[in-house]
Amino acid sequence: MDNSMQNMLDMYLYETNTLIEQLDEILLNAEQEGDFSQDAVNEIFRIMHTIKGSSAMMQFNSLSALSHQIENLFFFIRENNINQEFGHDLFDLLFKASDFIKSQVVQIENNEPLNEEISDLVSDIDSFLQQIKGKTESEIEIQASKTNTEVVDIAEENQDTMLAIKVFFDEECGMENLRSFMLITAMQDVCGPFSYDPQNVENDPTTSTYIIENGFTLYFNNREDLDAAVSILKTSLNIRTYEILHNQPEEKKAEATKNTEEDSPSLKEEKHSNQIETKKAPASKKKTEDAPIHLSSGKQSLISVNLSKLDRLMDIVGEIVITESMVTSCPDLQGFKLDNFTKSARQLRKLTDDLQDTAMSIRMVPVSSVFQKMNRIVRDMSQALGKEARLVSIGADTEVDKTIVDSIGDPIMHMVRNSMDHGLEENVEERIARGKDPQGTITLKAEHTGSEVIITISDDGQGIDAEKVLAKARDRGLLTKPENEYSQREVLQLLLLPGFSTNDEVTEYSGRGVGMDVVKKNIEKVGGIVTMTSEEGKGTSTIFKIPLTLAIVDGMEISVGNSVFTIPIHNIRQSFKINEEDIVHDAGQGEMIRKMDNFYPIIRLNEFFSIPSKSETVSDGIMIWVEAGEKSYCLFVDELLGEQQVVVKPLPTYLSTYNIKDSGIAGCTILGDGNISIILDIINLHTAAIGGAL
Amino acid sequence: MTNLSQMTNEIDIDFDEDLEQSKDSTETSKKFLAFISDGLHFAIDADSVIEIINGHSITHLPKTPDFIKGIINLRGQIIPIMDMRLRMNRAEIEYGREACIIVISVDNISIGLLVESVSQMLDIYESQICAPPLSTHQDMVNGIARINNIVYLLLDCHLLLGIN
Repeated sequence: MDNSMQNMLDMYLYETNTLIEQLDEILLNAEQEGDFSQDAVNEIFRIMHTIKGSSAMMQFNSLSALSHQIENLFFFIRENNINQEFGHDLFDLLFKASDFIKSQVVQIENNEPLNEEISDLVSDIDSFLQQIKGKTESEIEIQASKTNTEVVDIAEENQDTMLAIKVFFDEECGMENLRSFMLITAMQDVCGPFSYDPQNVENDPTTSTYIIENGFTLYFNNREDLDAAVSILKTSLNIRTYEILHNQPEEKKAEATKNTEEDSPSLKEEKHSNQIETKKAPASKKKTEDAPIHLSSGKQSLISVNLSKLDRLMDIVGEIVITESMVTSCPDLQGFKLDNFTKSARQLRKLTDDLQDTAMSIRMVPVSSVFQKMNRIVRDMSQALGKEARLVSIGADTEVDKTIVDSIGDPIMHMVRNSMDHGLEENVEERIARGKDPQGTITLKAEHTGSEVIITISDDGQGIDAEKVLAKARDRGLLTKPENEYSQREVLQLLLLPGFSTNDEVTEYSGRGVGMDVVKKNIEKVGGIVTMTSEEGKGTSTIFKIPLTLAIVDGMEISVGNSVFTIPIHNIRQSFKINEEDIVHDAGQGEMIRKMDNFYPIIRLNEFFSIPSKSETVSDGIMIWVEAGEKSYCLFVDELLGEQQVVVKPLPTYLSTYNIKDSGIAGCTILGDGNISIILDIINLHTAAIGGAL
Repeated sequence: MTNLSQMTNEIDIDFDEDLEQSKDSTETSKKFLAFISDGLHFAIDADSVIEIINGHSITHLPKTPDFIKGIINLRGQIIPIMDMRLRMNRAEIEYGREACIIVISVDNISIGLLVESVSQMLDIYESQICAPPLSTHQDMVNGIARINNIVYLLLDCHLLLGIN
């Protein structure tokens, strides 16, 4: 596949995925309201039309055929309104279709062949269409005559004559005969009996050439059919132009027929200038349709950019920022009085700062796309499991880095499934007995806290039974100490171990014991942590704490020996000098210091990291009192270098095999001079140096 | 930086010339980059080599194995550096001017190998490669080839990084 084809495919996949997401959203909203609004119908019609078009262009025939069917269905619904009683079936059918398209798109993404077997779905849609048609047949008659196109007024007096449409397809669109056949099938659904020329387009590819030269002509018996056919033509693809031809032996509007009147006596060739309507095929129409809808859907996806380009941009911007400070603080310039240079340099700094901020903001996307997908899961599962549930999302507009959004989707899905499957009570009676709303609630919440984004998935279900968890862990041999020594917190952490699942039965959704540890792994991949809280009878919450990669941190640069470290400013309480005699020794080899009537442990960074220190005595260095979470202690370092805003860069993936995250290193950053500074993780540093105990 | 780009350019040119030659032969050959570490001649699959750099200052990273010398900032990308000598459990030495870092990428993992010097590009035919003896302690070598009276140890990047 050459590059332009790959680009087209990328565009196609992106577009189709976005459309299907929109479709799901519309369907879910409509299902909640129990009815399709006119807007929703139009929007679905448009989505299906676009998918059909682009799929046909990419020659994904099954997709285009299926979306074509749905388009037909919605065409009907748009014109005739659907009876309430079909609502449920319609939603199921549509969800099934949207799932099918999704699965096909995934197959395309993976370069797998498409599943061409769509006859089941298509016939389902077909029979459904027939069914609702039966109900509204009488309405069709009225409706069809109402379709007021400009065609109607012109040809009103021609009711009895034979009507024809001549269709020309786009040049070089290929397979003209099959495209004609698709038109025929589409029209059969909405029009009465009609004939066409050339015949046998379905089986005879040679008709293509005839169609290219002479057009594909359709003959209708009455005005209604013709109008219906025209509306199909308007929405069909690859149609360059179409002309409406009337066979009128006696010309009534003589004044308008100036030159072409006596052209040809043959039925289909006869043209009258006043009755020929040549219209631009849907291309232009589609454009005008697209624009307002994009506005109304409120999506921010104005342009799609390959993520790797953004990565590259980010790297370059980082380089520019560093180079800028290399230039402005160049040692060769020292000692000169350079007023103009300083002025320009200041301007440059301001611009690079702006550039950096903008480049970073480009990568930030709201988590709403992930949250919205969960609606669908809750809907499907509540039907499948017979549990009533609703999804509440809070803070869906919280923005996080694109890579994070991509990696939290699966974990959140696992947790929502778990909540639906294990979290919520088996039946409504149980909930009522506990005095809860019969309808379960699953809450998704996203929020920023300085350097982290916190995502909480909680349910108001039965909570986790600690006894059951322990018993299960015992069975699986996962316990590492006597049962009664496990705290509530530790019990919940057991759930995150590989191979643990409390559900005795494996269901379609969960119970294979692979969910939770995968969740943990995925979150750890983006440097986050998973914690769970649960209260029996009240519900369970799972909390993902994920650092904002690329986030800017206000850091304090410190040095130990030749190494430079960064401590996030928000962790620092105080820095002070001490003397040897201020240090209190405990029974072990630990050192402590008294501050504000409390004793705090001391961690000597040089000793912990085995770096030769420059300070010979304690009084040469400096103490930094740091605090994070519940942990508070003092770090002994050589020197404070100053405050700086730094861009957090994750450590190389290769190093993650050595668990350096656990030894108090959060990441690294590039300093103004191009050197690297290591960012300390105050919590993990404490755990690694002193141990988990407080 | 100029040195570096010249260097990479030269290597690119070598690539092209060698490609021309290999077209004539019927047997397929593979490109290898030869380098020296602790007096041993190594060859590494040229496909995994990204570039050769020198003159970067390495930042020590605590709490990592000894053979991880530290990390460098390569145009905004943080890359860990593995000292080949230390990886082979040899004594640590001060590297001279010839020393350079071969940046390789294996399964999307980028890492720099600190070596004493880079010697040349090699075409090695499959028939020239013998399997290393089983008893060998070289846990990262997957073949041995003798070319122009020099024995080259073919480095297996996966074994080297301990992945898979």
